[in-house]
Amino acid sequence: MGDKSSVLPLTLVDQLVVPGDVILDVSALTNRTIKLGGGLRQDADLITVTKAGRLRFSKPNKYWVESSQRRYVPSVEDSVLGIVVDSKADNFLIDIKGPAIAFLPVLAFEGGTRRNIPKLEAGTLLYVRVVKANPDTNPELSCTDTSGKAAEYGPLKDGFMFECSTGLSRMLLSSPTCPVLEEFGKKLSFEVAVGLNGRVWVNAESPSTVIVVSNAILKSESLSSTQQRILARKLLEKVQ
Amino acid sequence: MGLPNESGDLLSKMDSDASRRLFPLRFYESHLSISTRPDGRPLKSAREAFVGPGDVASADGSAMTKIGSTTMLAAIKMEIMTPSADKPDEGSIAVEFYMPPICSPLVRPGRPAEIAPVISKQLYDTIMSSGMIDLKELSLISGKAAWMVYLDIYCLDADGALFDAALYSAAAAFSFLQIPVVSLSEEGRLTIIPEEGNGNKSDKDVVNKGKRKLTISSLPFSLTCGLHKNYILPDPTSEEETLMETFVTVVLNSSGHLVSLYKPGGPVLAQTSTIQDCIALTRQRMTDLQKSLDEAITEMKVD
Amino acid sequence: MEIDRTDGRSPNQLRPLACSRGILHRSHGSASWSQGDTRVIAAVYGPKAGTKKNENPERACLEVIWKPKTGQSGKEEKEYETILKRTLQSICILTINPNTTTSIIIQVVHDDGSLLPCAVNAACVALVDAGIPLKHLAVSICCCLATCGHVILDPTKLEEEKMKAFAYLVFPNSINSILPEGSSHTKSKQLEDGLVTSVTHGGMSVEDYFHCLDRGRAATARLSDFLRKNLQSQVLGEGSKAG
Repeated sequence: MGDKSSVLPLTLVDQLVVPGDVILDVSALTNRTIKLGGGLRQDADLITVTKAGRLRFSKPNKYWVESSQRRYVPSVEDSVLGIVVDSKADNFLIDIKGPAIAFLPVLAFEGGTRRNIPKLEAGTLLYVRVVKANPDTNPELSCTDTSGKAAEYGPLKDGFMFECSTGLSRMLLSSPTCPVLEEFGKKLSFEVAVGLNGRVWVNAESPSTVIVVSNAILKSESLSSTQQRILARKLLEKVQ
Repeated sequence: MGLPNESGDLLSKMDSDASRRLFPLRFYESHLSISTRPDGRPLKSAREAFVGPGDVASADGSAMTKIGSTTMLAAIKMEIMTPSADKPDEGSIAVEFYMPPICSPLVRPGRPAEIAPVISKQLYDTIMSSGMIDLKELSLISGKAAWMVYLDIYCLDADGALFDAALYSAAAAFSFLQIPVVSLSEEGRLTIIPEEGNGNKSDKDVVNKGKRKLTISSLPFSLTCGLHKNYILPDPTSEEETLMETFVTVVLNSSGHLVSLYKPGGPVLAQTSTIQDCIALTRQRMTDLQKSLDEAITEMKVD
Repeated sequence: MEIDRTDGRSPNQLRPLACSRGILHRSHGSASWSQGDTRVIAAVYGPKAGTKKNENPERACLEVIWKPKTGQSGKEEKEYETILKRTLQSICILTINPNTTTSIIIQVVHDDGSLLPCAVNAACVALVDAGIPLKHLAVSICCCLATCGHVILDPTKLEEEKMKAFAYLVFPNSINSILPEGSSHTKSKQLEDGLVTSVTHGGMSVEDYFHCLDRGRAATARLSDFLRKNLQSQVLGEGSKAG
């Protein structure tokens, strides 16, 4: 790809980019708003890359860089898996693998009032939504969806949680369903919760299922979709 | 009305001392825009430099320098040592730069300043690179005895451009250095004769008679320039050093050779033209520094 | 006019480069970078909450720890730490994660000349691996000046000791841009000309220094290409070694 740098494509979309690359000149677009996702920033008239990864574009105007990391940077509307660290009068303190501890207000549960504050002990695993993510303050979480319903959010009981890269968790959440999960889903019954912060929780009736699924997920990061299917089928044969 | 304008209005209404503390960067840039610096200097001029003997009685050579209010005291102590086996006819130099708590509110007792060892290393490298001192000249008896030169520089007041002032004081201390008289005893051991006891010894015992000064071939002089946006601001004060983040230190020796060009990162990238400007400014500065040092040396001789 | 190099390289030739990312399991980003026998491992931890004392909490703070191959760290390591910290500060976007600290740990595996440039390159790859937001990348090269005035690149330890002077230079990487070649945007042009860091040892004439600068700048284009290919191949998961 470096060889082609002399003959540059008109757009870098779907190409692999590294920090410093200029992907767009805003002054060239007249009267158009664009939305920038992770890994991009505006530098005067130019849009430049800040992280290495693949540049993605979604119509009409969204650009972002897809990359994989071990550390999570909170972003609004992400569903993440958090661990309760401590509880204070107004907030639960939650570790979401980010640079700062996140706050979960004690009233941010479905029908939450002062009288029915849930008891969450330190170490509890929660499936939560990021509500506020300003760099200058601690991120804020919620255990409800935008309409105030509990949806799937809340404490996760039993099961097994493991950490992975943010790229892997994004792959697991992508649609169509990730091949590994799809193959296992045909034969086994299990539950998964995937946090965009690089945490995955798996639960099933038998511990052996949990182990097989977890290992398969961890192994699948660097595999193509066909390879994932083969891996899943092989493992399934062994289990059954 | 945007926020920047409001604070701009506020700035003009405010007492200058208050604005200096509250909006240091804006205060500073408003000065730059009218081609002056907060201490009244024009943009491209360095502060006045002063150099004089350091009056450290216990040292063999000492010097005190001031650049603006940055004050350095350098002292050289010479000791006899056995030279290392791989370089039998060379002496050696050790440089140490100290930042005691007296020099700045940022240095607390018990917690040495992080920058001090870095400046020590830089000074040592610069002195060695400049070719100012011929290490062979520090040899007394090849393979047996040579001078170990301890150069200690104390920062008494840290108000920016520490390296420049420290290097200047080092150059001056070497210029003022009087090598102590050494005598050879019957057992073949060398000892330093104290100044007063000089007359009692017979002249033939003295090894280094008539060689009390180092030949200093070319002195290094340095100038640190801060880069801020498109401005090149030589000789920053400590206040300016907190506002700017990019510095270029150029060291030239008296023959015009480049001894060191030190730019440790910084958000402003140096273009070739910027580097040329910095070198040109250092050339100008060098003549000033050299002149005041020469004056100080002649004064010393008169005394 | 050519000068003989003990390893038979031409003056402009760099030693074989190798780089791998994500080699440490527990760090948030890691990289190993080697140029010939010189090899450095860099690890990045963070961003972690809070800044160190005397640092501006309104910005992200970087902390560099330099571990020598053997022994305690002394003045030289302190100097390297300072230079590396300031160099990396200039490429990181410090306003994105204010009041956090990112630690960069450099472990020297073997020093055979051009150590600081090697560490800068390793640290840069490790920062990319950790996903720390960067303005651009930095590539570093050592230029050595022979007594006769010739410049050789990427010297070994022996060559560094033998030569009159050498300069460690850091430049921004050459970037891909959608802007047409020679466009009116002077900013990106300036970026490529700019010098991030310069550290020199030994005396040289001013002309020689600018000569080094030109040669170094020319060589960084090759380094940038290597860096880009490497980062791209590993994004694809095509393996961990290139070049």
